[in-house]
This record gives sequence, structure tokens and C-alpha cells, in this order.
Amino acid sequence: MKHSSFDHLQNPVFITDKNGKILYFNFVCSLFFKLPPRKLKSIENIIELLDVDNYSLVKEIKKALDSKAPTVSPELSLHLNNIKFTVILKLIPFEGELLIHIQDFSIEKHLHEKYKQQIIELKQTHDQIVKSDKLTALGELIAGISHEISSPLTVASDKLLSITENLHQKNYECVAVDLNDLQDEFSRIKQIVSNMQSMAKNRDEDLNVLRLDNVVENALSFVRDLGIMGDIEIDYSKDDSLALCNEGKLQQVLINLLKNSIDALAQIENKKITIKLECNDQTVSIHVLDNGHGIKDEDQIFDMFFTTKEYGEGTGLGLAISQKIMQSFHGQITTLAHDHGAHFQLELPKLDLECFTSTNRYLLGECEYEDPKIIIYSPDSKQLDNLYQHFKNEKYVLILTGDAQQFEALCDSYMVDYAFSFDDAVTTEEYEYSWLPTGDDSKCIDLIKGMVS
Amino acid sequence: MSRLTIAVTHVENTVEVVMQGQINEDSNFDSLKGLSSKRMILNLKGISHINSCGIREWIEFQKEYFHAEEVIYQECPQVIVEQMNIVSGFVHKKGIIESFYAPYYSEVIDKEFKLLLKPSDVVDGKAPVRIDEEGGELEFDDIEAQYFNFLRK
Repeated sequence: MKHSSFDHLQNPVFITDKNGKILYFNFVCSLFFKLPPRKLKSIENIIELLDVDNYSLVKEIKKALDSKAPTVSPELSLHLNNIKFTVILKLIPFEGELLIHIQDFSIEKHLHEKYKQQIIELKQTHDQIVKSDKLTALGELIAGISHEISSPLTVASDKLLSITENLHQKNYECVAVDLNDLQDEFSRIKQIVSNMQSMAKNRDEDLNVLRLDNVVENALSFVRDLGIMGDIEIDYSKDDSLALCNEGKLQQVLINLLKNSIDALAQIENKKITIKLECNDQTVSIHVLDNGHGIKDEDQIFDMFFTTKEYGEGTGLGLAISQKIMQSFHGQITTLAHDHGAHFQLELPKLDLECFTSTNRYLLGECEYEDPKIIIYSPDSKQLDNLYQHFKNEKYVLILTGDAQQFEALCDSYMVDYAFSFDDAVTTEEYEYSWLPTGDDSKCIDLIKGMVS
Repeated sequence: MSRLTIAVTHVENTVEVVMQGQINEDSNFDSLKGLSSKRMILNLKGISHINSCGIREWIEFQKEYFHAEEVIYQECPQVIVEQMNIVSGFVHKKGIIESFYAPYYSEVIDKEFKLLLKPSDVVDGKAPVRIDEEGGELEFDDIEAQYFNFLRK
């Protein structure tokens, strides 16, 4: 083969003899090494040119020629004019000579490192924005809670005065009524505090199998506590769908949508918010609809800092963050066409009641092969949910199923160590099993814990 | 690393663009968007480096935003000529290369020169003869067939 055959290749190519003496180089070598051909010609041996870290070119040349087979170097750092290049050398023996092909990966490596760093920075910025949104929400929350707590406290204070007065006058019937009212007011305060605790106790990174209707009810209760609902009618239809998500974060999304709807309904008569839970083969959805002024600029509403609210009334982050949160659950938030007002759909992957498996450790892939595997069958989804809540952080794999056939199939496959059925009609003979009356969760849990320990 | 700077001047039907620095993946050509003159002169003398990501960006940008009837490339440095030789589409389809730099060398005083040439100076693919201040003849410091290849396109 003529050396000139390599003239038009786009990568640097050298041809050397068995001692590394340069016999030929192509045009691109001159560009790569930033040396005119005149200077390249003056370099006798390839070793003088290729200053690479941790790589013996002499040894590799000999190895390639002896074996008469091409060799490829690992990724090497090549120093040229005080600039570090990342290259891979391919040494190809042919007709007693050696072709050295240089593949320059410097740009790819540089871009990889640069974009990796940028992604880290973006993630940090995103986290900061989420935190700042939380702080904004916290500010609004404190204002709302203060208002909500101060009202029952004022009433309670009046009732205490009234009780003192009535006790003084020995008017015990009125005292009883006042005490009853007082208890109602304190219950109201207790409920508000309880909702706050429920929001606070959810760590951001925890994913749990949740009943969506519980999350919706908590979010609704939370917004009610803010005292901004006014005369809005809530039309809410339940469903027993399950999803794997973080309760606090999903509540954050729902609260955000509810607050947007409340703002949109400010100037509307017969205000109404509709919340529907829906389920199909693949997904579970929460629909939030209102009869407000609808969505303008649909293309932009999920963009950061986009807001249609007056200056100071909205950060423009709520929906953008909601979208990120839904994506973190492998779900999505979308707008749907609606005749009057706005319609948002929160879509999550369906977690089939027929077989949801899990402890948190199993989901995180931390379970060991030897960890006990327990299968529990119950036709009652609430019971399965309770069991999941009790067992989610324990050191065994828990398979909860509402499908009798699946239960029997798994028992027959010997894949599980313990099997329990909450239905007399469904049993398995190969395993030690137990029949327990439906609803008696505490007894069941004690039994299982006892066996595993 | 010097960032790319772009200066734009309008004179009647001509827009003159002076580019300086490096063309890479971070280069921003936005100031060249929407230039509607019939004639565009690109002075590339100040371009010190261009990488493969920069070339890709540049080619795509030219295709989309350069609508002049004539795009003139002026004072193209060696790094640009090298890219013209290995990358198809670097020059706009209505592009004309007015002048470019070529490497010369004086063996007597052991000095390298970058001399400005016009395409018409290159006859039959041969570098024109140039002399230094002392009257000594300079030798062309590259492979003629490769370096002037872009003029044949």
C-alpha cells in the first residue's frame, strides 16, 4: 500500500519502522501538532513527538510488530505546547512497518466534564429554587396559620371569660355550653397543627406507596386551614388508587394547583373546584378543574419565572417546580382542554394493587439475597396499605398482593419464605401459613414479627 | 481562553463583521442574526482557534442566518484555511474568499512569516514567490497541494 493513500484521512497517521523512525506522516499531523511539515520532517523518531503519560510507546510498538496484530492503547494524556490532549493510539503492523493512528478525544472529554459540571450546577440551582419556593410557601403558610389560629384563640379567650363569669354566677348550664364551644375551638387548633406536622414529617427523598385520596384530602384540609377557600364549592370524587411518590411533595403540587385555582376564582360567581381521581391500565391521575378565567399562554405556564399574577403575588416557580416534582415520580403534569376555566392533570404510573412489592430497602435495591421474603394476601386494599406502612423499613422483602392467583403462584414457586393469607378461601399447603380475621392488623403484625425475629 | 467577540459595522449595502478570539461550543453568533445587507464582509484575521464543535455551530449558523447575496471572507488566518480544507460547508454557498494568510519561512534568518495572499496569487496550485526584508526568497512552509486545496472547491 502506498503511503500517500493516507494523505486525505481526517485523523493524524504516522508510519514508522520497527524502531519508531518516522517514514511518513499525513497532512493532518501538521494541523494536530501545530508544526509545519518542515519541522515534522526534522523529527526522526515518533518517541520524540508523542509525550504520553504512563505508556511505553517503545514497548507497545515492539508488541504490535511481534504479534502482527493491531493494538489499541488506553485513553492517554498527550502534552503538546503545554496543552493536555486526550488521545487513543492504534498501532497497526503492515508490511513490516507500523501505522500509528491518533484519535483525539480531547473535545469529547472536555465537553463531557463541562456538561457534567453544568448538570451538577443546574441541580444545585434547582434545589435552591425549590427551597426558595418552600420558604415563600412557608411565609404564606405562617401568615395563614397565624390568622387561622388567632380566630379560635380569640373565641376561646372570650369563652374563658364567659365561663369565669358564669361560674361566678353559678350558671352551670351556660358553663357546660361554653366548655363545649371551648373544646371545639381547641380541636380546630389541634387539627391545624396536626396538618402542619403531617407536611413537615415527610422527608423529601422518601418515596412511599400512598393512597392518592389521602394525599388529596390532606392537601384540601391544608388549604382550608389557610383560610383562603371562602365560598368555593369543592366537588371531590374519591378512588382507592395507589402510587409510589412522596406525600409532602405531591401535597406541595396539589396545594399549588388549589391556590392557583383559588386565585383564578377571585372575581367569579358560583366558584367551584372539581377534583377527580381516575385510573386506567397504565396510570393513575388526579384531575384538578376550576371554573375560573382559564389558562392563557399554555405553552409557557411550566416555564420558570412565568407568572400571570400581579408583581409580588406570584413567584412564577410553582408550576415549574410542580413539573419537576411530578417528573421525579416518573409522572407528569399537563393541562387539558376545558370549556370554562383551567384543567390540570397529575399523572402517575399505576401501582397495581394486584401486586405491589416493597419495603423501602427493597425499592432502593439494598435487600440481601438471604433477607426473608414474606408474601401476604388480602382482598382488602386498606389492610395491605396498613401492612405496608408498618413494614416499609424492616429488613425483609414484603410482597403484598390482592390477587389470589398470584399469591398461590408465588407460594408454589418457592420464591418466598413465609406466606400469609387474610382470606380463609385462599391457602397454601407447602408453607406455614396463618388465617387471621380481616381487620385485625395488630395481631397479624405481632405474629409475623415474632416469626421473622 | 479568549472568548469570541464580534463587531458589526454597516456601510450602505454592506455589513462588515470583524470576528476575534476562539470559535467553540460556547461561541455566540447572535449579533449576526437578522443582518439584511446585500453584501457581507467577514474579517476573520483575529480568529485564534476553532474546534470541531465550533465549526459545526458556524456552518449551521451560516446556513440559517446568512442571506446576503455575497459573503466575502477576508484575511482568513491559517487555522481557518486548515478547517476550510478539511470541513465541507465551512464557506457559505455564496461565499467568496478575498484574502487569506499562508505560512512562509526564511531559512537564512530562521523565521516564520504569515503572509496575506489573494486566491489569484496562487497559480496552478503553487505558492507565489515572496521575499523577506533582506531580499531573500522565502519558502512556502506547508504542503502546497494540501494548503491550497480549498481554492479548488
